[in-house]
Amino acid sequence: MDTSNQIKVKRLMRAFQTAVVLVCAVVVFGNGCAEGGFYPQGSENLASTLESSCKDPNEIEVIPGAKTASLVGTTNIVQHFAACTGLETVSQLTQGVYEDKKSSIGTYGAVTSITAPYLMAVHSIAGEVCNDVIDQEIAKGNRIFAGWNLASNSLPSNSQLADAAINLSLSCWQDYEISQEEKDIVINSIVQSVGSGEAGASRKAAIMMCTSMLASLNALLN
Amino acid sequence: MKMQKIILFVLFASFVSKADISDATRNDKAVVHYDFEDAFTNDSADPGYMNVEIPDKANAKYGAALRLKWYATDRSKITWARDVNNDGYLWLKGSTIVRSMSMATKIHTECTKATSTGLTIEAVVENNETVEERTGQYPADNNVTRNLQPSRIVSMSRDFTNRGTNFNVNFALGQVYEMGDRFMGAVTTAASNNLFTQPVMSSNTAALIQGLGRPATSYKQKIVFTVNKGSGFATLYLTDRNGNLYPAVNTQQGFNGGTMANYFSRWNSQTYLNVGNDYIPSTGILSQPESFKNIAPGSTEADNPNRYWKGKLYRLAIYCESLSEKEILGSAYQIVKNEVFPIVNVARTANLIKASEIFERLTGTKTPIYNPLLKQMEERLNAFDPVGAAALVTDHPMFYNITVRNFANKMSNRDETIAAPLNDFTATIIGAVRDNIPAKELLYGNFFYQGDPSKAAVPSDDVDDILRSNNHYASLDLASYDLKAVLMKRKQIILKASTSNGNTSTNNNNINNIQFEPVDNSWAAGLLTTRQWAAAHMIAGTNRRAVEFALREFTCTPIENAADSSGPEDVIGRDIDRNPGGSRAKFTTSCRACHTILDGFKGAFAFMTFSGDFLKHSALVPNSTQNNANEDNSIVMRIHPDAPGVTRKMNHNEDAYINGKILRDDNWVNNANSGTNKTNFGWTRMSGKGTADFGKALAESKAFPRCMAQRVFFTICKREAESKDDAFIKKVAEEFSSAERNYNLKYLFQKIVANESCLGGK
Repeated sequence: MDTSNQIKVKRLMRAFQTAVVLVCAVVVFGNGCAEGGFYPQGSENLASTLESSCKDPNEIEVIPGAKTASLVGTTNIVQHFAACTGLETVSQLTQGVYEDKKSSIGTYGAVTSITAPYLMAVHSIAGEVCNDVIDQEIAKGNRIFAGWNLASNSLPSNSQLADAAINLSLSCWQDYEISQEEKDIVINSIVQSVGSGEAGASRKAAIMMCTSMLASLNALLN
Repeated sequence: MKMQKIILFVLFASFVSKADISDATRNDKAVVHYDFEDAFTNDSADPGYMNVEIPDKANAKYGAALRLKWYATDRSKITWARDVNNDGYLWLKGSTIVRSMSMATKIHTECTKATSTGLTIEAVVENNETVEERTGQYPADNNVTRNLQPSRIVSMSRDFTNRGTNFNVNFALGQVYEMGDRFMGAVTTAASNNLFTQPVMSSNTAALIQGLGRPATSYKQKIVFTVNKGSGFATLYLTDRNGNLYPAVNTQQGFNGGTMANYFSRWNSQTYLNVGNDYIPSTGILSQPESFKNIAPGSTEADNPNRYWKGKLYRLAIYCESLSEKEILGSAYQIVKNEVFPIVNVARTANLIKASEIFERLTGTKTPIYNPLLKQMEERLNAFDPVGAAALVTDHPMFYNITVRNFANKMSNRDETIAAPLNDFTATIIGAVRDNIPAKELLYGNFFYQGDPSKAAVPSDDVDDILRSNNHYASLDLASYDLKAVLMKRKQIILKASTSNGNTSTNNNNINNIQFEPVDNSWAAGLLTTRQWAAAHMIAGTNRRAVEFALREFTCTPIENAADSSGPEDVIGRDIDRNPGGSRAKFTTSCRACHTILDGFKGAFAFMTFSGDFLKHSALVPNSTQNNANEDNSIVMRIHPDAPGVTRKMNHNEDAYINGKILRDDNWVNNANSGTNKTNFGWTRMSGKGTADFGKALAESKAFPRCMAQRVFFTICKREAESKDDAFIKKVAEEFSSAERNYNLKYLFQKIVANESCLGGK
């Protein structure tokens, strides 16, 4: 290609790149709207333009034939965790923590609502749900933490830790089975954080595993 | 006849309300139990009831019975009788004391055991005292500068004081008479405290809790006070006017009262069980002053040991266990409860994953991949029946408690948020979906939904909790009741308000002069006449908002999209300036476009307004032509002298354009029927009378099923329908409104979730 044509191509490329950036800017930073707004179209033709309807600046472009990714929101986070872990009823303490933290959780569970406060709130609520699960298993028999002595000061064995991780992924990760690498990460974190003879070691290990897996994105998807 | 009606009412109330501690629980767990069913004999040998002993009917496994005895000499202060239901009661009529004949050792022994989970006090009382009799006669005091000293219904004490390191009161259940009845429970725990010194909800030092019962009338008040050693939570249960027990108040955080082993370690073992007072030595009973006004100079109310309580006592039981809510509320405890499945490894096929996605979107919760229901759904998906798979989920409680609730809640409030509190509008939609009521009827039917008091222990009085407040629904929400299980359908009711003395003074909201009566709502129009709809859209303003939001929520048409500047202006009210800013053109091109529609329809709400916390119809409340009548703080509705019966706000500000339309009745016209509006709305009605007709016009329009489809789509597909989804939305809306489907919202959810537009794939 001769020099003049190369220059033309480069200019075209720059123009194209600028146009892409501009389009993205318009789409992403368009009219500011509240999260999760329902913007009725009011017409048989649902087509909307940027002038006539208010688009969420964080709106993700719809891909035909694909499911819209979504997370738990304010109205369903507690029951979402309780249902997948098999927690029969949620304790007052857990409800109290949810009331404290719910303002940090997006109303509609839009994936664009993930923020640091959201993740911290999710961890707090997940931790309390896990406490309730452990109390339930102590009272009614082990299920997720099969074979564990949850009142013990000793850490469960690595195989018991691994089994619990599998049970949690079957329960709350649905279409995704925990991989060996992920199991190792979870187990190693527990072993490094909880002393083998520490008071309440078994319960602490259970809390740590349960909270980290419940608060993961796999568990939050809805 | 009146007695018969009372009996029938009481029997009915007893039959309907199931919230109560069962006899089995009481017989097994009560450490002391007095049912006052044993008649006092008034014989010549014992004319003053001095020898009467009230038996303790608790299980003998807790030790020897702790009989009560009366220790005053004035026989006029105490009697025994049976009420119209043949229930026995002890009637304490003045300063007196009924005390255990020996120290309450068995209570101390059982409650201080490390195995005891806490304390529960159960009492059934009745008070008939008027407010005037209460003040000045009791140790309790209404003067806020004085220390509050509640009358003691029951206490376990050896003196009335907990001072310094002398702990003489282990627990007490008290009552303060004010305009309402305030009940208080207090327990000495491992930390230091003076009982009743500060009536706060919770503290770090002891369990002290108070709750407001209903104003004293002739009805039985159940009181249950529990303290849980493990969690440190205390809860006070009370009954509403209809006798429905519910958790009235609980502590918002646990008390740091100690461990299970030492929680009641500071209890005094040398204490007596006292009924109707604190402990007073026998020799001191007659010498104690009855009124706080008679205490010694220089003393305070706190120094008056006489904390006598007046009233009827039907039952008293003490448990050294923190009874669970289920044990206390019986069958009226149908809360959300998740299923627990055995954990098994399952093959993750594409259709099993799809089944789990359908489940998640329809219920708003994640279920384990080994849930047997998913397997059943997978089989239907394998048979190419995705709607059938979804139909298995629309019976699940969470479909109603989360998904349908979110769908409905968004339409229920002005902010259009799903996070609004539960209310009658939302509950009605949930119930209608559950019961397969055609969605059309939601806009004109004569029904609403509430919690069944026999299944949900929440305050359920028609006047106080449903028509004049959102208490009933807020309580359903707070206690996590399973709405699928507890909602029941009723005919709509509305409040009739009048004054007993004929005085319609506009600034008088004195509860003693006003009579509120729930009556059948002859103007019922489904969701459009619910309290929540009225509170959101018929408060203040001109009721045009009710029209605007009806179009917005039920046809998905914001008013700006329907605006039609070619519409007639003869319907437009006198409060709209025809020359805004001196420009007739502005009115013609702008204002008229919306008002021709809003004002055309607004007659549908002519006779109604929301003020003073309830939905008013002009036929059921006093009307006032005084422009300055204080509607918000009285039962009155303001009307314009030119238009009797029509709420004044629809004819106010008449100086803006004196020749504008005066709204004199509830007729309305449909001016949203030309140009693109004709196609977009697809109306079948061009005029009508009243709210129900307006609701029918909305429900019969072509826009309504389309709008419902869009709303369901947003709820479960987590995005707005776009132009790409046009064809699908149109098709599913037609199916929804067909004779076969008959506006079944449940089917709409099933149909939409199963489509690739929603969850992708095939």
